[in-house]
Order: sequence, then structure tokens, then C-alpha cells
Amino acid sequence: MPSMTSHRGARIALAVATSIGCLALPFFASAVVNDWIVSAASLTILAISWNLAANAGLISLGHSAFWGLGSYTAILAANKLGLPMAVSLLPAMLVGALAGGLLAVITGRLRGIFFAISTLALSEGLRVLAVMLPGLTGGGEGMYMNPKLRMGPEFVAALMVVGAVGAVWLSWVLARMPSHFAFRAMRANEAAAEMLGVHPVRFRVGVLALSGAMAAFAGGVRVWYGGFIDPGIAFDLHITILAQIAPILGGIHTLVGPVIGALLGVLLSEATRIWLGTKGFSLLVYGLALVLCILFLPNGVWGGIRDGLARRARRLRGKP
Amino acid sequence: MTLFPQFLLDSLLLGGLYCLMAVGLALAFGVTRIINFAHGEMIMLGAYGAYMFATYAGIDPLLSLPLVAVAVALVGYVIFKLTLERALDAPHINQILLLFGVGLIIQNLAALAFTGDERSVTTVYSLAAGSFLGVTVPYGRLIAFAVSISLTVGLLVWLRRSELGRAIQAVAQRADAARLVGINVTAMFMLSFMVSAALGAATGAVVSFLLTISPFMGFHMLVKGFAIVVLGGLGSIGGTLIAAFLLAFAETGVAYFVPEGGGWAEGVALVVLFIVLILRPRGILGHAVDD
Amino acid sequence: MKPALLELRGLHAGYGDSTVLDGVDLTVRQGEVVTLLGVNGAGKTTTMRAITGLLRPTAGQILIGGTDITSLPAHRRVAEGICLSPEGRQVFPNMSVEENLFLGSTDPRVRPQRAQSLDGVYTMFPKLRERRAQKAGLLSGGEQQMLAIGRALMGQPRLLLLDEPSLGLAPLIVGVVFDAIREIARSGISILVVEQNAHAALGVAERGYVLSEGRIVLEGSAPELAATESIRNAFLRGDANAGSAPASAPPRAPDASSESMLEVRNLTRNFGGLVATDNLSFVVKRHQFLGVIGPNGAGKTTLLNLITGYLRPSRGEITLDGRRIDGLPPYDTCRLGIGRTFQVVQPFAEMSVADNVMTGALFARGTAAKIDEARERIRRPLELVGLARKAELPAGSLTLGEKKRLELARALATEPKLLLLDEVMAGSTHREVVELMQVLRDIHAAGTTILMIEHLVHVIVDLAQHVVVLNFGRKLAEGTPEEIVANPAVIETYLGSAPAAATGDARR
Repeated sequence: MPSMTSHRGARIALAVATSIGCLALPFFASAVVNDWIVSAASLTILAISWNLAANAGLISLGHSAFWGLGSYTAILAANKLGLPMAVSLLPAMLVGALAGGLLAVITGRLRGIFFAISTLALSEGLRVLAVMLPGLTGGGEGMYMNPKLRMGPEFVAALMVVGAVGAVWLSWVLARMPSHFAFRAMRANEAAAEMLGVHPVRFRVGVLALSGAMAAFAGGVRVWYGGFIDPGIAFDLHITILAQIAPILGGIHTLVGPVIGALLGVLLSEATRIWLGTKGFSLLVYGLALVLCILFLPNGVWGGIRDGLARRARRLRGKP
Repeated sequence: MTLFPQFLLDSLLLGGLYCLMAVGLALAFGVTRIINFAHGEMIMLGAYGAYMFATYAGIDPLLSLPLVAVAVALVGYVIFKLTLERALDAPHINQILLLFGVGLIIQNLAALAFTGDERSVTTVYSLAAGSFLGVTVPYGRLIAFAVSISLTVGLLVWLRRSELGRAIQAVAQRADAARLVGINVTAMFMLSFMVSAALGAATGAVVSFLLTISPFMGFHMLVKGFAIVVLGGLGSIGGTLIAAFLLAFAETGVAYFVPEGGGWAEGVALVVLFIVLILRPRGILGHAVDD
Repeated sequence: MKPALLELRGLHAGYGDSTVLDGVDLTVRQGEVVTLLGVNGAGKTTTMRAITGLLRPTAGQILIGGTDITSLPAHRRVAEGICLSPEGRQVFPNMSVEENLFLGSTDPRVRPQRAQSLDGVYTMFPKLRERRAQKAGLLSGGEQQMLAIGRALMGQPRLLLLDEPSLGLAPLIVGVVFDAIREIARSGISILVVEQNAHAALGVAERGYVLSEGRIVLEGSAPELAATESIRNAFLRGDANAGSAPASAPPRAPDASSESMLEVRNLTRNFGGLVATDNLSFVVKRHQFLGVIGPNGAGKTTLLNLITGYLRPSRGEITLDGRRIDGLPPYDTCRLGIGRTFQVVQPFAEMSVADNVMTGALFARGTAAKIDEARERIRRPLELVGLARKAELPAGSLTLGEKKRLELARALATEPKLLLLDEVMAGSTHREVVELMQVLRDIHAAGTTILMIEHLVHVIVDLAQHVVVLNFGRKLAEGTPEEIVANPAVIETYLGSAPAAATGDARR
């Protein structure tokens, strides 16, 4: 039908235009706006990454593990191997993927709270490891990136935007593949899914490797932006918190939700900082947002909008 | 060569403290089947409460402990009423995230109220020590041990012997059968949550003169608490107590006998947690895990 | 006539969207002993849960002594004099016998008389006094049943409810328990006993009701009920009409197959001390329609779990077309051509009906199928079970009967050669049962081999070519449906046996 294809064509054109726009923005933006772009883009990647695992029923309370691994790998790749920015992210993503895959294999069939606690243990454990291996990581004092290798902030921001666009595109593609069904089935009822031929551990490895690689990418680019790393920054609890809040706020298990949540998250954080002065407030607001969402908006902002629209449509059609 | 006896003593003293820290978590989970991710904040509030009493009223933390415990129990009441009560039938993960969010709120309110500076309470005994058979006996830790063990034993006695305690045990074991004999299960949930918060606060008061206090100290203790409760077996208080001592011995052992052990000791709880989850998720004395 | 103590008026109740009780009217008069009989799934325990407040009815009323308690919270009903010994006993396992009894008198109304009540219970059950300090979880089944009754008595009830007191107990112990029930009745307490063991229950009750598929289908005095054919029909056919066959049921397909497809040999499965499956051997032939029946706890679902790989056998083997499959995980048995539905229905609630069935179509063969192909392939199963029009609705919004049909469609989408059905009729209305029976005939006619566990014996009689009867994990009998229904041993497992004569000593 002609209207369908043009509709679809228009959507693709819009997506491409938006992506190019976002990519170009850092080169025209002020430093402050650039900061926002980096925050928003990295949070988008993180949120999509967390959401992917959550879609398969795996709630991670230690996503900072992958972020931190990405950061350390990227900075080491730069300092020790002299790799340029974009290339340094390849080992970073690889390490993130390996960590995710290993986590899946090791935790086997653990679900729910047990899986969540094991992710917590992973991120905390990596933090301790980073402190105790100063030869590799610079220990508690941290490491600086070799200043000669550092790139201009607009390039870093652009790369982060590339990552964010890539993450959105990837999640769109995944939603159209058979694995989408397997993940949702596993989330609903892993035992029943098994009876339909779904191999739970295999799918877990896949989703956690992907999720880990994405979060590692974001962490890796971030370290190029900041130029410094230490265990506290790399495996910061705040990363974990942000990784959850954005998708929950925006709309868990949806495509658009994590993106909306990421933007809202950055908005909230910057707004509270501007109006109220201290950084500490943003975490407070995040906590409130998390509690309020779970209690009153379990489908997040996007879900709330969709439910509201559906209710309106039903009322207009005259149904109850 | 008094290293070994010293190690034994230090492990023992630490174990007592860990008992108190974890038993509140174990109680709340055993009864409500909800893991309290805000337990660390109860500890933190207890520590700050003791600090305030000590600094502004000159009252020793051990004396202000009961007041602080009651105050934080009330905080537990508010948390339960406002958030958990609505989510009693929600999926586990929602409950976890909810309490995580509550913990976040409390942490940051505390950070705003007290700023991130680290504080501590100094009492007559907090740094004093004596010597016994060649072993250094730190009085502060000894007193902390005594208080922790007393409170833990007190809890056990209350659970075993009192009407309410029995009712709480019944709810933990078979909630429907408890309803059938006339127990108001939701009220018991609330009570256990409050008692759990009080025990957390007591832990905080006790560590207020041993460690530095900061608004974010709770998370660290929470992870250790998890390690202990999971090792002991979710739902088993006896298992928790055994696990508390096991972890204390393991950590102290690493600190003493492993080069640079002081730093690695922090990771022991995490390694324990990981190993238990992989090899035997039900822990030492827990029931089989189906979830 | 004695005044009514308990009245159920037009009681409707269920779980989620499914209705289990479909308008139940029942009365227990003061001082009476009444029994509520029925097979598993009839709604007996649901009735008990509604009376005690653990389940809120969707319609109807519950009155005790004339007071409407329909919305009273569960923990307040003890104060109204209602005490229950629950199905499965539900003693507090980590507390001592005495502590369990103390808890029975938690209600402030009865707490002052605790010492007296305790003495009374110990007098009735001397064995409990002997074991007063022992942890309740370590008691034998019979002792736990005595404890559950004792705990209920501690609440000083006017109405004592007993849910399947004979479950899992040896006949001698059943006698002991029912003697105790008689003694309690003599003290003037009104009693409502829910039972599968009709003989034992009718030996102690004055009046009885028979519940079937959510409705009372028969009521009368105990002697009346014990004597008639109608009770056998009520249990085995789900209605009280003696010997009436459904008018227009098509004839059963003749069992022409001779080749064996699934072989179960010496299959045993233990759980600690409990033997769930006991040296079970039987064969399912290619293209056969095999029925598996047996009372609650007979090990039917365990059998399916062993075949599909959710459990490993402790001993014995299972072969499919000559290939060993025991111990293979479910995703491998699926690939080999086994499809299954679950006793407790397991839809993917947030996914649409179509997406549920898609999941079945996508992964059943080694490599994931293409989404477009799968969308084509799910049309037939969806139409077959009558859910095509609801394809886009979330699976969680379906009724229980529809969810069972969804599971069937989902299993069919895996294109199984052997289909295992676990109580797929549960939750369906009469008309849905008839429709579903035709669906199963069609599936069978198309060449699928079927193994069907079912409680509705009349369904098995109409559909199955061969029947295996399980009890206590063992094969009790095997044969054609006609042979099975006439087999005295089979009838006994469904209606129960008269409890063995018990002396007073056995309670010590």
C-alpha cells in the first residue's frame, strides 16, 4: 500500500536526519552543551544496555562492572598500546562482552534476586581488584590518559553520539529478530520457554555479552572525555543507579523508553544542579523518581503515555 | 608467638558485630521474603543518631542506643507504610528496586544534612586497650562485641519465647496457616520490618565509635550483610549467625596472613557471595532455591 | 431441625479470570457432621479457602451463625469460631508440637483457656503429648494430621473445618484420625469434612454433598449417598446420571498401531525419602491416544517432568523411537519432537497470544526459523484451538480455559510427534470441554501421538484408546477405558476404601 511505504520512508528519513543532526551538534555546541551531549549519549547507551538484559529477565544491579572494564581497557589500550580513540574501543567492547558472557555462564540458571546480587558482587569485586592491582590499574590513585593521545571534546562527544545512535539502531534490529521472542519468553517463564526449544544459557550469554559490550563502549568513550580514571570513578555505584533509573523512568522493556529516560535523567540532573546548586540533589531526585515510578508508573513515562493514549482511544470508541 | 591467638580474638570480636549487622536483614527477609536494600541506611542512621547524641548531648552511644533504635524503627514504619505495603504482591524485582530507591533517598538526605565529611564518635573506651595473656584486647571492640551478642541473643529469645515472636516465626514458616490461627500477617510484616530497622540502627550506634561515619557507609555494609545472609541461607537466622562468624574469620585471616591482606580483605565477602551463588545458592542452612 | 451454623449461598470464587466455584449452596447445622466430597479439581479446597477467608469470593455469601462474614479478613475468622485443619496439614515445621498448639490459641478470645485446651488436645491425642518437644516438621504424616486438628481445636471452634484429613495416610492411620473426628463431634462441635475418600467420610458424617466442576451435583444423608450408584457416577463422570453416555460423541478411533514410540522402563524417582515414581513401566505406541489417570499425588506430573527432562530419573530409562531421552534437558526433548502443556498453566503473560505461539514455532528445530515463516505456521494451531480472534490480546487477559488452549496451540506450533497433555481440560466450561475434545480428536486424526493426563474420567473414556492408572507412583492398572472403569481396584482409589478398624491404642 503506497501510504504505508511512504510512511515508512518518512520515518527512516527522520531517523537518519536526527542522527546526523546529533552527530554534528558537538561541533557547534559550547562546552556546557557538549557536556550534556556526552551525558545524554552515554546514558542512552547505558540505559539501552541495561534494558536489553532486563528484557530477558536479567536485572543487573552492577552494570558499572562493564562500564568500568570498558574504561580501564580503553585507557590501557591508549597508554600501553598507543591505539587511537576509535580503535581503543574495540578491545574495550571485547572485554565487556567477555565479562558478560562469563557472568552468564557462571551464574547459569540463577534468576531474580540471586542474579541481581551476583552482579552487585561482580562490580564491587572488580572495584577492589582495581585498587589492589596498582601495577595494572594505577591502584587507588588512578591513572591519567597520555595527554599526547587525547582528542578534542567535540570528537569524543561525536563518538559517543555514534555509539548512542548505534545502540538505538541495534535495539531496533534486535526487536525484529527471533531472539526477541526468546528473551521475552525467558523473562516471563524460563521453564516454559525451555519446553519450546529455547536454550536459556545460550540466550543469556548472548544478551549479557551484548549488554556488556555496549556498557563497556560507553565507559570507554567516557574515559577519553575525562582523561582520568580510578576505581571509584570506573565502578561508581552511580553508574549502576543511572543504568537502572533511565529505563525504568522512560519505560522498561520498550524501545523508546530508555532513550526518553536517558534524556529525562540528564534533564533532571542538570535542572536540579542549576536551580539548587549542589550535585547531591540529583541523586536524591533519582531516588524519588525510582520510588515514584515503581509505585505509580511501573511502565515509565513512555508506558504511561501509551496507556493514557490507549485509554483515550477506548473511550472515544465507546468501549469501557 | 601471639599472632594466632590475636587473630582468633579479632575474628571473634568482628564476628559478633557481623551477627548484629546481618541478623536484622535475615529477620526481615525470613518473614517478608523481601530483601531490604535500604538496610545499610538503617545502620547509617543509627550511627548518625548516636553521633548526634554524643556530640550535642554528651550521651554515650551505648546509652543512646535504645533511643536511636526506636527512632529508626519509626523510620522503618514510615518506609513500610508509604512504599512496601503497596508493593507486597509486586514482583520481587520491583520490591528490590523500590527499597534501593528508598535507600538512595535516605543516603542523599543524610548527605545534605550532614555533608560528606567523615565523622566519628570518640569515647573513653573507643581507643583503649588492655593486654591479656600477651594478646591485645581492644576495649572498644570488646564492648561492641558484648552489646552485639546480647542484642542478638535477646532477639533469639524474644522470637522463641514471646507470643509476638512466635507469631512472627509462624508467619515466616507458613503465612497462610498463620492467618488461619488468627495472626494478622501484614501487621507482622510491619513489625519485623521495624525490628529489623531497629537492629540495623543498633549496629550503627555500636560502630559509631569504631569506624568513621559517612552518609554512604551503608552500601558497603549492605553488601557484606548480603554475603552473610546468602552464605547462611536466606530465611535461616541460625545459618546467618554461623555465616557471620565464618566471614569474620575469613576476612581477618586474609588481613593477617595474606600479603597486603588489609586491602584484599574487603574482597572476601564478594568472593564468598559469588562462590555461594554459584555452588550452593541455598547457603549453609537455607531451603532449596527454586527462583 | 437444628439451626444453621454455616451457610454458603450462591458462592462463586476463583483465581484470576478462572471460575472454580460456580454457585455453591451448602449448609452445616449446629452439632452436625457434614462432608463435602469430590475429585481433585472439583473445588473442595477452594471452598475451604473461601470459608476461612484466604480467598475472596467473586459473588455469593458466607454466613456463620447468621452473621455475614463474606468480606471479613482471614485472621478475624477465628474469633467467629471457625478453625481449619488445612489441606496438607501446614504445620509450622520448625516449631515444636507444643508451640504449634500454642499458636492455635493465638486469638485473645481463647488464650486464657490455653492450658485447659492443651490438656484436652493431649488427652485426645496422647501421641502429641509424647512428642510435645519435637519439631513438627519431623513428625509422621499421621502425627502431623493429629497436630493440625489439635491446633485447630485450640482455637475453641464452633465450626471445625477439615480439608482432606486422609490424604497420603495409610488406612490404619485414617481410621485413627476419623475416630478422633467422631469424638470431636460427640463434644458438640459442628464439623465440615472435605474428602476424596468418600467411604471414610461417609462413615463419620450425617450428611454429605458432592461437588463437581464447581457445582453441587448431589446431596443427601450419608446412608443415601453411600448406597447409590450415583456417587460413583458423580466421581467418575462428573454428573449424577447413572450410566448415561453423551448422546452425539463420535466413536473412538480404533487402536490399529503396533509399533512402540515412547518406552518407559523401570522408571523411579526419589525426593529424599519420598518415592514419587516407583518402578514404572509402560509403552506408548505410535499414533496412539493414551490416557493417564490417578488420584492426587499419584505422580502423573512427575512422570511428564521425567519424560520431558525437567527431572532426572533416579533409576530406569525412557526411550523415544529407540533413542534414550532420560536426562536430556527440555529444549532437547522438544527438538526431538515432544510437545507438552503444564498442569499449572504457564503462559507468557505480557506477550500476545500470537507471540506466545510464535515462540513455539521459532525454536523447535535446531536453528531459529524465520519470523515470516513462523507467522504463517501459527495460523493453523490458533484456529484449531479457537483463539485466532484473540491473537493480539495479551495472554494474561485470557480465562483459565483459554490459557490452557493457548498452551496447546503453543505446543502444537513445535510440530511434535508426541504431545503430552497435563490436565488441559481444567478450568474449561462444559461446552469448552466438548469443543476441546473434538480438537484433540482432530489432532490425533492428523497423526500426532497423544499422552493425556486428565481428571475428568469421562473425557478419557471417550478419547483414549488405552489407559494407564497410577497410584503412589506405581502403575495400578492398564487396559482399555472400559476395562479400567470396571476395575474394582481403580474404583477404590477414586472413592477410597473403608478405613481399617482402629483401636484406641493406635492414637497413643
